[in-house]
Amino acid sequence: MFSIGTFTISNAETVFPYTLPAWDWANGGILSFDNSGDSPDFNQQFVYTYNRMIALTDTYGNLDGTKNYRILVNFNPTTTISGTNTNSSCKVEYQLIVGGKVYNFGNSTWLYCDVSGVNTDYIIFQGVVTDTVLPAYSYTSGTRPTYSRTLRITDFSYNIIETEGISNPDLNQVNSSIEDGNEIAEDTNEAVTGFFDGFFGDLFDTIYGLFIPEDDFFTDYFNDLKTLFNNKLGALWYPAQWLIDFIGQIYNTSSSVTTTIPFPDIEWDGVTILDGSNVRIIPEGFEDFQPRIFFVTDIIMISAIFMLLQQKIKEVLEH
Amino acid sequence: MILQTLLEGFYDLIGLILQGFSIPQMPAWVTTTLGDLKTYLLSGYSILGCFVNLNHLKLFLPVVIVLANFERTWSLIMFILRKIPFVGIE
Repeated sequence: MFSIGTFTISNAETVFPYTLPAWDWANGGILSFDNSGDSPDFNQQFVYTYNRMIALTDTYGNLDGTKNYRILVNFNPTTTISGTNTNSSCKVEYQLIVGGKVYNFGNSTWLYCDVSGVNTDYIIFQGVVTDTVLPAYSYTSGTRPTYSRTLRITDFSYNIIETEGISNPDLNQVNSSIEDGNEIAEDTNEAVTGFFDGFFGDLFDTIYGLFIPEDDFFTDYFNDLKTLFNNKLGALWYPAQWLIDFIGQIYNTSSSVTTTIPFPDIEWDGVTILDGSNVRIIPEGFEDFQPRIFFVTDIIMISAIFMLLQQKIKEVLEH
Repeated sequence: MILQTLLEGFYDLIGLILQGFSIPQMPAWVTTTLGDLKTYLLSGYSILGCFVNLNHLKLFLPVVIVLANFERTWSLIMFILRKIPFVGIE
């Protein structure tokens, strides 16, 4: 492992030269709007790409396409925004281009990238600036909006390390150690969380099973109990069985709009005088009437419950 | 497990008690009559269902039973709570 040099801009006032329309890199720039017309609406977005080519020959020489390198880049950006009658924002995405391949910094101000198979004598540091300028809330037509944004890059430095094969045992060893450490931590984490998950899961299942039987237990149990009573108690059990069936059927009955009252045949001396029929309580065409009836009866039932509750509270308080 | 064991023990106990019992079944005419009675009652209940929402009725009915028998319900709850030692209710 060896360093092939460091390039630094140390003067905070020094910035990369670049060319942008209506923009002075050294002093920032002013974008102005000639919006003295009728419409106060403006929504401007400026996207600029600036770049600086960094020659490697000054410090090191060409990157060898047969070798592997790790390039580390650091910099310090400073953005200043000012203006009048505008709400604005500035977003900058930084990139490094090595041998035509783009490595994104995102929002970070440092980056390392592993490069191999590249034969070049320069790298490109690039920034994509997006200025979004909107009218201020207080902006009125006739007032000239201005927007000024200054972006400076200071303390830019880069470092290139050759990482090829056994010539970089230290770096490989560090990477290997980090990976081993991550695996150990992951295994330990899994073991600890797995133990506690399993322990408490089994504990809860055991406690649950201690008190609550299986799902079908009660159904089978009560069926067996009813069969036992029916076989042993016979007629004595029938009223209870009748009541259980009756309550079960009551519970399973729901309101229906098609409920009918059956009228049997009327016969006289073996002759049918009037045929039987089923008469619907709510006639066809009046089905929508039932929800309104339900609403009224619900109010009556709820009122009755509240009256009962009031009566019981009164009784309890009096005693 | 505990509840299951208790219930199964209760079943065995009932079976043991009723071991000597073999009461004849209810006569057919009685079961027929009671069956018809049940049918008529359920028909009346269905007619009631045309005017009262039975789902709501089934919801309110337990509340009414508990409220109407509040003293007995309260006594039952306290009876059960007194059986739990660590609750500390005397």
